[in-house]
This record gives sequence, structure tokens and C-alpha cells, in this order.
Amino acid sequence: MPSSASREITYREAVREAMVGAMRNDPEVFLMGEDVGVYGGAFGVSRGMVEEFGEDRVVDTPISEAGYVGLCTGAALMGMRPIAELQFSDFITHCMDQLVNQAAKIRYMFGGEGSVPMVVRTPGGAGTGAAAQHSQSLEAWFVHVPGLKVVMPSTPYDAKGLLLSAIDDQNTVLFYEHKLLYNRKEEVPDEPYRVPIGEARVSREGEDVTIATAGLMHHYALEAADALSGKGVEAEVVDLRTLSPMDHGSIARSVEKTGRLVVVEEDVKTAGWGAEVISRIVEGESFYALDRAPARVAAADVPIPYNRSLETYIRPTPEKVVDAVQSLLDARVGVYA
Amino acid sequence: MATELKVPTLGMDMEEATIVRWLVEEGAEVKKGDPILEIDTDKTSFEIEAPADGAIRAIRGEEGETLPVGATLAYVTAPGEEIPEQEAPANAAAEQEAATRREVPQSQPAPADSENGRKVRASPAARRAAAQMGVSIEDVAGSGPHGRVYLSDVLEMEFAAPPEEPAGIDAPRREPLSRIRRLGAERTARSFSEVPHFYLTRDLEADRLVELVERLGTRMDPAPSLTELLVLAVSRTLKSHPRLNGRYVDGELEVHDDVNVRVAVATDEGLVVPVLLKADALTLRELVPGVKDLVQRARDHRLAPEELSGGTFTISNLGMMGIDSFDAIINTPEAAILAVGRVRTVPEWRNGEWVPRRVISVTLSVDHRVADGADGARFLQDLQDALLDWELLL
Repeated sequence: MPSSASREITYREAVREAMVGAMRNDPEVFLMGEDVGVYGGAFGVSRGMVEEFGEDRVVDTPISEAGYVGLCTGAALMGMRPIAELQFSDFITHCMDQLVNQAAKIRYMFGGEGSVPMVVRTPGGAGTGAAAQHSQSLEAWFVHVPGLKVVMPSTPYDAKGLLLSAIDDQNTVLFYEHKLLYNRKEEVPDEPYRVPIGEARVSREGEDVTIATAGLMHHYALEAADALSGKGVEAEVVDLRTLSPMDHGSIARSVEKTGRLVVVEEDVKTAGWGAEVISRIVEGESFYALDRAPARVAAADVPIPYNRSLETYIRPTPEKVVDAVQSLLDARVGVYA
Repeated sequence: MATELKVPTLGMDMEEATIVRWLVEEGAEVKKGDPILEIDTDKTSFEIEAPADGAIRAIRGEEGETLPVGATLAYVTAPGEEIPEQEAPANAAAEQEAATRREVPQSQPAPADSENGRKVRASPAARRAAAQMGVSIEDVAGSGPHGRVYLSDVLEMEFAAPPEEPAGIDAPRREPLSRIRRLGAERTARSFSEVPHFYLTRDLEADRLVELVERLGTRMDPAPSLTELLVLAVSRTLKSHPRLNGRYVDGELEVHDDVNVRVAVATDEGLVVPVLLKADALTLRELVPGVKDLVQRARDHRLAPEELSGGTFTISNLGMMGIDSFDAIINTPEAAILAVGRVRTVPEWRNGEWVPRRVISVTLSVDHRVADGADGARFLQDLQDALLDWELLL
């Protein structure tokens, strides 16, 4: 961390600060999306930016994700550094072809002659009562696509540092925010700094169980770890920060110490990215460090319900994490439910 | 209809039993009365016999597993009989266990357990540690469900392994405890750590008691021993001391109308403590052969399980082995135990001169949750009065 001054700001402000800093620094950086201009973005992330940079660099679009993500892909190919904002990550289905068949493939197919240094920022996740079409966690889809990077910072500090790294990156980076993280506050340095893509962070040390997680779930995991500590169980929490490329080495090192692994993810359990985490651990040498079958805490395999009680019921919660860890220590795991 | 084989009740204290070993395999043809499996309760081990002729089917419960009384163990089916349909895994927990066992990856081939064809289940970490220590994973006793071996089980073996001794010094040997000694070890450790003991010791004047033993010896067959007369006196005296005949259960005093006295018997395999039921209601002529019979069969290990269960008070006599007095550990869940020493002759200053006097030193160990020192002292006083004036017991 630089030695310069810092102050407490929100996750929303940290994201904005990274964009503003990059745009002041590099005229090729611009922001594009629905309502990002005068309205300041659906979640207020870009508030004030159109006033500073004008409508040429903070560009409001029609409801046309395929169109403007395609536009940004082209701009990136031509050497610009576009940031596309998708109002809800659920809408990413509209620009799947641009992302999966174009942005992810171009650098490879042109033998490195062209590249797509684009950032696609978008809030995912549930917990806001926004129902099945505005609450999904679809990040695992993109973990599955070589050529894309997927980051999912959980703190204001990481949000600023990772966004600056994403803007610098020569590849397309999906930058997952979370609606429930925007108001979370933390000390963040004034100066620009980079958090490297692809490096996990141990945010809490413990001897008894490793909890691997990312995004909003990182905070649930920390809450669970505090509750577990009161029961005599010390959990080590690993915040992945980047889902692709995945830093399984950090998790493996932790599992070597604890012998137990619980993954906490907000996406649905089946074929979620937690499955990838566990696969990497059991495929490698770290398999032999496992003293219990690994476990996952994830959303149920259902559309997110509108009803708040049902939504809570199917989502991961800190209590479910505590239960999962205790079940694992009691050796009652291994049941697919 | 198939005959169900359940975990039996072997005594009023029994709630569960542990499967020691199956003596037959799935599908074995058995005759009624054939031993099917051996179970362990906290008091005894017991062979369960086939309730009918037929084939053993749907065996459940693995060796080492603890099951509640009434749980189904297997079915005995005659030709053409089917086992009841709902007898898939009996409850959610069993289903979950079964699912667990399907899910847990068996990444390395584990050698088959030669006895029953089952494989050792061990965590990868346990296997790695065992390999590094040069320990065979089959030799590790697993602490998990169905004997699953965890890392901690392997590491315990390492700590338990004898250190390498320099040449010339005999390494200590280990030998397995008899089942009786093992159960005794667990029960006494639990009692001594969980029950707040206190001890009251006094010399009981025993001239009349010794005289009575000698006098009845010439007139009764079998001749009563000092222990048997003490059992009689203690049983009847306890009738007016219900606290000492009760037990502490979840913050309440459980009262027993019957006095069921246990008599501690040393055997070649360890201490056995059979119960003389309703000892307070027995006449001397019933009590004496009753105690002798129990003691003999205890030494021969021929006691039925129910004869080891349901005691309310214990007497332990080491007097015949030369012990003056000793403090005994309470036989939980009972409230008290009386430790009896040898008959000693002591001088007593009486009427200006020393006179010889025979006494027995007894120590009453009491669960302080049930009774106080004064309760115990009053009991010992009443016992003393009875030994001086046996008519008080009529």
C-alpha cells in the first residue's frame, strides 16, 4: 500500500475513483452504458463523471447491451480502453456473443496482432428482493471461457486496485461488483495503486478449516468465522478476489495447513465456480492434505425468488456457513443437497 | 413375515449398545439360538442369538457402531419370507450416512479387510501421514463414523508408539485389557471425574457380628460369612436411608423402593459387581445362598446380563485380603459404596482398664449431590446400632 494519505470511502466511490483516475490519466479510457451519464448509473457509481469528462467520454446508450459491448470491443481493438457498464449482470446474456465469441477470441485468432483491452463492469448477486431476472450470479459462465478474466473484489481497497489493473490489462476483464457491497466503507489510499489480477488474499488466519470465497460472500465468511471462533473453531478465510485466472495455490497452501475446505459462493451450486475450486484442490497434491470431504455453501439450484423470506432461504448466509463447517468437522458432509 | 432382530434391553439402565462383532455374514443360514453377533453395553458384553431358524438378511450396524435399544440389527427370514419394505435405511441419518459413503471419493485402492470384505475408509490426509510413518492404515482405529480414519487417529498412533529405547533396556510391552478391565477403567474414570465424592470412615464395633458369624456357622448350611451378614445389615438399614439408596438424575433425586445391593467380586479378569435384587426383603436363609451363588458365578463369568444391572448400593470387602480400610470409587449411577476392611482387635479404655475389642473399619463413599456428611454419618450410626443389637433389623 502506498504511504500516501487515505480516507474512508465506499466501494461505490472506490470504483468511481479508479475510473476517474484512469480517465484523467489516459484519454483513451471512456465509460459507456445505460444511464451512466446524467443519471449517474443505476447504482450511482458514475455520479458526477459526465460533468467532468463530458458526454463523449461518459456515454449513455440505449438498452442495447449487444450493441455497445460490441462497440467497446471494436474500440478496444483500435487501441482505446473502454469500460462498459451493464446495469445488472443478468443482462449479460444480451452481449454473450460479443464477449464469448469476439472479445475472448480475437487476440488468439489474430495471433496476437490485435487485442481487446476492455473492462465490463457489472453488479451481480441477490439479497435485494430484485427477483429472478435481476439477482443472478452468472460469473461462473465466464470462468469457463478461456480468453476472459473474471475479477470479483469484496472490499473498496481491492475494488479500486483491481479496477485499475483491469483497465491496464491487455485482455477483456469482467469486473463483478455487488449491489450489497456499494455502501461498504473502508480506508482507501488517495493515490492510484494496483492489486494484481489472479492473486487471492488470506484475510483471516486459522488452523481448523479453510473457507474459500469471493465477493459479498467474503464478508459472510468472515462473519461465520467470528461465530465459529466463539465455538472454538478457527477458520482461515481466503478471498479469491479473482475467479479467472484462479489462484488455487493460495487455497492449497491453506488446505495444507487446515486439512479442511469449505467454499462459499453466491452462484447456484451446480457447476458453480466453487466446484472448480474443489476440483483443483482434489486433483493436486493438496488432495493428500484433506482430512475431511470438502463442502460447498452456495445458492440452491433455483431461480432467485422475489419473496424476501424465500430469497434468504435459498441464498448462502453466515449461519449456513457455520453449519457447513460444523457438519464437516462432524464428518456429516458429502451429501449433495 | 421375517423375524426382526433388535438391540435388546439387558437392564433398566441400558439405553444403547455397541456392536462388537458380527458372528455371521449376510445371507448365512442359522438355527434358532445360534449366536449372531456380540454387543457391548457399558456393563457387559452379550451374544445375541437367532430368534428363529432362517437366513440372516439386511444386516445393519457396523462393528464399533453404537445403536439405541430397539434398533433393528437384522432380519431372520424363512424361505419365501420377505423383509419389510420400509426397511431401507431406517431413518434420515442413516440415509445421509449411506449417501456420504457413496460420495466420499475412494481415490486410492484400500486393501480389503480380510474378515468382512469391507474397505478401510480413511481421509487422504490420514493415508498420507500413515504412509510417511510407515503405519498400515488398516492398523489405525478410526474415530469417525463407521470407523473412518482421520489424520488425528494416525497422529495419535505416532504419539502412542513406544519411543526407541537404547539397546539393553527392556522396552515396555503393551497388552490388551480384558473387556471387564476396559469397561472398569472407563466407568471408574468417569465416576471419579464426574461424581463429587466424599468419604466417611469409622470403626464399627464387631464383637457381636463376629460372634454371630461363629454361632450361625454351626447351625446353618451353608454357613453365613461376615460379608453376607453385612449385606443383610446394610440392606435393611438402607431402608430408612433412602437418599443413599437413590441416585442423582438431572438435578433430581431418583428414589428406589427396593434395595438392590451389589457385591464387588474380584475375578481373574477384573472386578465384577453382581446385584442381589431386593436384598432388604430376603430372609437370612435366602440371602446367604443368594450371595454365595452370585459370587461363584461372577468368578466363573457365568452371570446373566440382568444380574449386572439395576444396583442401588455397593459393598466392597477387602478385609479378607488384609486391608485395614480403603476408599472406594462410587459405582455410578449409585449414590454410595461401602468399603469394608478387616476385623482388627484394638484396645479400648473401659472402666479403668484396657480391654481388647474387635472392630471393622468401614468407609462410606458418597455422591455429594445426593447426600451430605450428616446423612452418611446417620447411616453409619444406624448400621453400628444394628451390629450391636441385631433385633433392630427385625
